[in-house]
Amino acid sequence: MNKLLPADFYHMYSRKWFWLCSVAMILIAVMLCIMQYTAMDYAVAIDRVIFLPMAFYGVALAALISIFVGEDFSDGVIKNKIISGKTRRAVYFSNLIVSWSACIAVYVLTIATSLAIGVNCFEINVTAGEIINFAVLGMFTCLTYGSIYCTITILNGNKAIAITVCMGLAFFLLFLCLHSNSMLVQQEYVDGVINPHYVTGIKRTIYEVLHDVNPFGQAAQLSDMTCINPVRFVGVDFIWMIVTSFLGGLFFDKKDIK
Amino acid sequence: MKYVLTTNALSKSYGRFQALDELSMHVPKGAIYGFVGKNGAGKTTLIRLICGLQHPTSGGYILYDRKNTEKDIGKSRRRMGAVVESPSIYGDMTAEENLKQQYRILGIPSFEGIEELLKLVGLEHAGKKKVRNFSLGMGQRLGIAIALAGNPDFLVLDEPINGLDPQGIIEIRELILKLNREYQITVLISSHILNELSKLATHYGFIHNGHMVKEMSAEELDAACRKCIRIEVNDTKALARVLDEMHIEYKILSNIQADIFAKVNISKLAAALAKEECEIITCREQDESLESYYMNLVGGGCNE
Repeated sequence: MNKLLPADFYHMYSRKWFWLCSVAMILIAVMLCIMQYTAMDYAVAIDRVIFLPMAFYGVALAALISIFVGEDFSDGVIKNKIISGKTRRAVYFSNLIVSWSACIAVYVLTIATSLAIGVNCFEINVTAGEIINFAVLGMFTCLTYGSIYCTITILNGNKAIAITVCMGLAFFLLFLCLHSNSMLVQQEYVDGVINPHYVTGIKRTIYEVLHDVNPFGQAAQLSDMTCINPVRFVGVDFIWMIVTSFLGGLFFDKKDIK
Repeated sequence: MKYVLTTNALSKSYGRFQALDELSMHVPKGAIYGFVGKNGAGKTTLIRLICGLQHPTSGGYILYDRKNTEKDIGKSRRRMGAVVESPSIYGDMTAEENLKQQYRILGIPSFEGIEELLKLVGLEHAGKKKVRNFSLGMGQRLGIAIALAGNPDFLVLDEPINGLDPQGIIEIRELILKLNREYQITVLISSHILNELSKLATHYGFIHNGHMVKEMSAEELDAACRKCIRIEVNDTKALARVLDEMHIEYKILSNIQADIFAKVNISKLAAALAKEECEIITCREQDESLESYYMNLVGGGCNE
């Protein structure tokens, strides 16, 4: 795998897709800052700005990772790797590590942009420690995105289908997150009257877990710098990474490559 | 004889479709092994299996003295290079960039040999041209260059001349011959273009419906396809005596049948045989091309 990593890193960072994705996310970060700064009739604090682009981040990564990993299949270079004696596991984990690195690189560029604009234009209502804590949580979400999209693409083996599946999954999870978020943000009382849409008990716990299991749900929590349960948040990310790595390594080992 | 690759009852099925059926083949060291079969016979499936791209359903193979089930089969695979179906190259990179990427994959720290490789395959003037703008022949040659990047001892080429123009076919042929003769690289080349293979191959394997029908050397094939007169007589011992006296090359096939490998004057032969009290029953010219030999092997065109 050590030998494959330089090749895969070169493949990722020498191509236009990584830079296009980064530029797109930076532009989204800038646009969201401008919107928050101009469109609201009240002063927006920095906690609503820094991680706001995370809502779009999962969709952008679905495109980037499926293109990067899928390209090896569409151009046939994956065959060169295996014919030259590299093990399937080495091929899979090299792709995974490079995907993780790209996810974190795009994330850092995006958050750094929001932060740079935020500290200059918005009210600072959070400490540096809080920002760092949430930034670390966001990194775990990044790794989860990378694991899911990389595994889907490498097991699929067809660039076009992998892009469709990853993007489809991204939008499905996004809508699922919107639903769970809408249930969780309900106020218990509205104008002093109990809100019938407010969920309680087991139902609320299920929605909270769903919100944590869904990486878009995690992104939603980050976007307003609230976290239902940080331990569960990180635990779920670890489970995602372990399960996808295990399944990816196992099934890619048995996969017939055409 | 030392073999680079031997397969033992190798089978591969996709669902109910049996692509390879207990195929056994032997690729001798230093050979150009022509792997002959019609489209869908199982040539590419075999190549995918030996390259590790797919796993056999049953049976196995030995590559450089290592079984495919051994953990360090990768070490044997490092001694081979292959172009499976289409060349595996990044379309938006130049030839040189593609080779550099292959060097990275192989873990070769220096790019020193790239210029020489490009020269070897005749792409030294490709310059900054992106691979997507290459002709079919240039792409094929780059694919071979990439397969050669790790200095392999065994080169596997899957239908390398498919779709090439006559000039491209000649270039690829010359390149394969050069690699085999000057660099002692064993070559396994699959094709259904028999005439082209006959200009290269030192050994042949004929595959049909996933099964190896026959393996033979080029000499054996030449002998089998050699122009001759097949003669039927009532006593081949007498025929042998006469042909020996006439210094004519022949091969006795049975008590009554023989092949004569020369142009003979039938009247003189008949007269000489008459003196030995031997009668000619039938006499006809045998001429078998590689194509007709192959068609006879696989049972004619009934399966087409």
